[in-house]
Amino acid sequence: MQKRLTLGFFFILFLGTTFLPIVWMFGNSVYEEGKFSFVYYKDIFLTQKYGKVISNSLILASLTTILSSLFGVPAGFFLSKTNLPLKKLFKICFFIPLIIPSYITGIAWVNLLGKTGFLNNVFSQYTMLSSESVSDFIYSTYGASFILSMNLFPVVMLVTEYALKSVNPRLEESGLVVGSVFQVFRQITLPLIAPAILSGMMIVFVLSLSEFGVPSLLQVNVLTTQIFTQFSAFYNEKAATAIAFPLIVITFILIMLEKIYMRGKSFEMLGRTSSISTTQYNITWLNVVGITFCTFVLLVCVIIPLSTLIFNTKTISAYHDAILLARNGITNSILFGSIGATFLTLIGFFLGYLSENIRSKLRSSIAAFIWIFFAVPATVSGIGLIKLWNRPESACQFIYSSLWIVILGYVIRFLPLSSRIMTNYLKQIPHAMEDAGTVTGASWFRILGKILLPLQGYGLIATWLISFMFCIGELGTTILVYPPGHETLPIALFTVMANSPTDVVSALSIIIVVMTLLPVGVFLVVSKYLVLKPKLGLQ
Amino acid sequence: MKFIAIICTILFMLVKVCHAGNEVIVYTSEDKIFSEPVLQAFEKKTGIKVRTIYDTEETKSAGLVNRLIAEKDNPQADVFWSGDPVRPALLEFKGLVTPYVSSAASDIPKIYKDEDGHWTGFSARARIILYNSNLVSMDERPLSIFDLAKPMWRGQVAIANPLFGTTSIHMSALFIILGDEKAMKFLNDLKANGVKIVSSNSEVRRLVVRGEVKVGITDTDDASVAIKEGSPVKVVFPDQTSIGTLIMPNMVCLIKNSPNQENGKKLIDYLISAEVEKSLAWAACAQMPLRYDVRTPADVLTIDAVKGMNVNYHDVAKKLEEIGEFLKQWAGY
Repeated sequence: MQKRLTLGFFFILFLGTTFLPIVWMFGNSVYEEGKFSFVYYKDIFLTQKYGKVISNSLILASLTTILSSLFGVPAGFFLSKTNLPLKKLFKICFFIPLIIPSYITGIAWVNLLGKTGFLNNVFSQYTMLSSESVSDFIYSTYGASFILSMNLFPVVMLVTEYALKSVNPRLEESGLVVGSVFQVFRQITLPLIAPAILSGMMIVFVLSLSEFGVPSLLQVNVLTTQIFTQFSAFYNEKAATAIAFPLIVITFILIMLEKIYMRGKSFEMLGRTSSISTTQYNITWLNVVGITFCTFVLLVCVIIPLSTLIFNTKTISAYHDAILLARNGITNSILFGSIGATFLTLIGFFLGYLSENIRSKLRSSIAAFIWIFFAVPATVSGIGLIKLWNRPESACQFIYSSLWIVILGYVIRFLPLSSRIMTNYLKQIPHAMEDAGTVTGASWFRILGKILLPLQGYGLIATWLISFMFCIGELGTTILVYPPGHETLPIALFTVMANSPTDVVSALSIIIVVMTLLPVGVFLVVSKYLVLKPKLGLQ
Repeated sequence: MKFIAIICTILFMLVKVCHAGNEVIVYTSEDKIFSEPVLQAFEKKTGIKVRTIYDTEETKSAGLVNRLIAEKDNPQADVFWSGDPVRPALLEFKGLVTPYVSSAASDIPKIYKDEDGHWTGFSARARIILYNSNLVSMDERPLSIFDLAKPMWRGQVAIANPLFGTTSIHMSALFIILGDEKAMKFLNDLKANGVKIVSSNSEVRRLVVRGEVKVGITDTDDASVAIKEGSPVKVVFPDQTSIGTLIMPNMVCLIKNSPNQENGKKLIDYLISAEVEKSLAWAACAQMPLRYDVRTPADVLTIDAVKGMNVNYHDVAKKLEEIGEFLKQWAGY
């Protein structure tokens, strides 16, 4: 009973916060002048008009996914399985690309690879490439996926890293007795973490599918820029919502493919109760490869974009000006981000549980159903929120004119993400654990508190951290709904960007990076103690 | 349970209590660094609390006009201060604006305000040609936008996406002045000449400053900021001997059924005053006052020194709706 009520409550919460505003928008888009009409959908599905755009979107998302896995999977492996020197530093630094708004990374790379850019000169002098071709590369779908993958690879990295930590070390140890490191990784570890990696790739795919900043900067013609055009050039929210529909269809197809792949695979691999450590390889050549690879990734994804920012802020006074501009935004961002991340983790946990641990035929449909909402573009969600919450009734006004509308924006954007990450971690807990609790006659809340939540220590922390970073970086929905005086850091950045001196804008970007990293760093340190305590108690 | 109760209490304490007192809510698409000081001055002068939502640059987020339209049934904003002269007219078409004829507008030239008071203009920007003075000499510089379709400038011209912002207004004005046929021909010639279509006016500025293209079409405020930063760029007010340069005043309008109508009117009176025109002329955006008698710095032209394009902004807004599809195709979207 407790279980049903709780799960039901959180599912209704999902319907109310995420489902309703979006469905409202889509409902509205098939309703024209008092009757049903698919006029905006006809163009998309019955003509060739959008064929090119859709294929561009698919190319962009696929390339980005492949590139970020090439960066992310090895990085995650080296950070959790080897004894690299400076591992902590790498770990924290690899969060930076997620935090810097992709638009800023974009500008940095366009400056470097544009016709008069530094790297462009280097390439055209020392390689066969002409200055034109380098510049053309960056202003193309390929350039856009290159930039995006550098921003998004930490997602794959984090997922890989935490999945590796959850692998039962005994399996690997047994393997090591008879085989080489390489064999063990390929034949034991990789198959065990493959579902988690795939899930990370899926997240990157959908994120790049719904990304707007970089394609807009590089003038790449994809679905999101088309949606934007309908909103901002024609003020036609119905047509815009209709163009968002293919995004959902693509995501749906992807889920089906994933389901076929996952069929019959088992994920029960949790070994954390039997051993606290993770198997670590202490082999010199592996460490050398690891440090070379991580340094390379650090250079390309972190140091290059960051140093162009630092290079642009020549004076200390720029930081002073930037802090003055961002003062309000800093406190708001940290406050809203923490509340948002906490809600996302909490609701995400129960939704994850709902879509993984209940024994019903419905469960995988629930997961798919929640996930398709992740593909909805920020602007569509934002307008949906306004329509739903901006009403004269005082309860609605209370939400709409306070920080809660911003939090609702975070929830609508990232609940599918947080619940998906939670689902992955929950997959690793054998049902037997919960059954054992039930046998002893404990109430469900008690099982939850004593078994499920403590076992999910890593999962909860990872979900919280990722949600926090995504919340802090959210721009598209927040800017449509934030009440006066409630601006967050990205809003502070993007509203001053127009015509502010370059050095102040760059300084502000750096402040955003630092402000986001601080809590993440603190959390990483504190998390150790948070995770260990309940675990020891359980043994 | 106790834990949850404590959390809930804390969360509710975080909600800032928004008292509907002596305040005015303004949405502005004028750049924050220029509009914020003006609004603060109003606050100081009148004691009315100004609560502001600022916009990003046009192509970086769906922005305020979409928000205003979505909030139509329960308006939150009292005043919309638009950085361009066309969005208020668009809002008027959509029935979001209520007329207000301010007495402070009496000395603003007639062409810059709506007869019925739906919108009133002040401090203006202009559409100009920006060129890189390291790459282009004084004698070579293009004096007309029509020069940019000539072979000399092949692949050397940048323009922002014509569907958005001031570029869209410029296009619409050209269609009115030249007629559809001529305007389309000019745009097609421009495209055949390898014009670079970029995301925004500030991108145009960046490319010209870095010398990736020699010239670009952008706004006076972008140019002024680049010059103040010491970049090697110079400005041409195009077509002074023919069709004239497009002048784009700021415009302000009162939102229908908004919560603080009276304070909204006071803010409008202030925004269109000579005092604000003067301060915007002296700020980094270097906007031209619409009144002849406002003193400006030496490098800011007064409105009588520039030949303006003879267009009615109401018509420009109408035309824009007509040519949207053509512009979309032209830009390759």
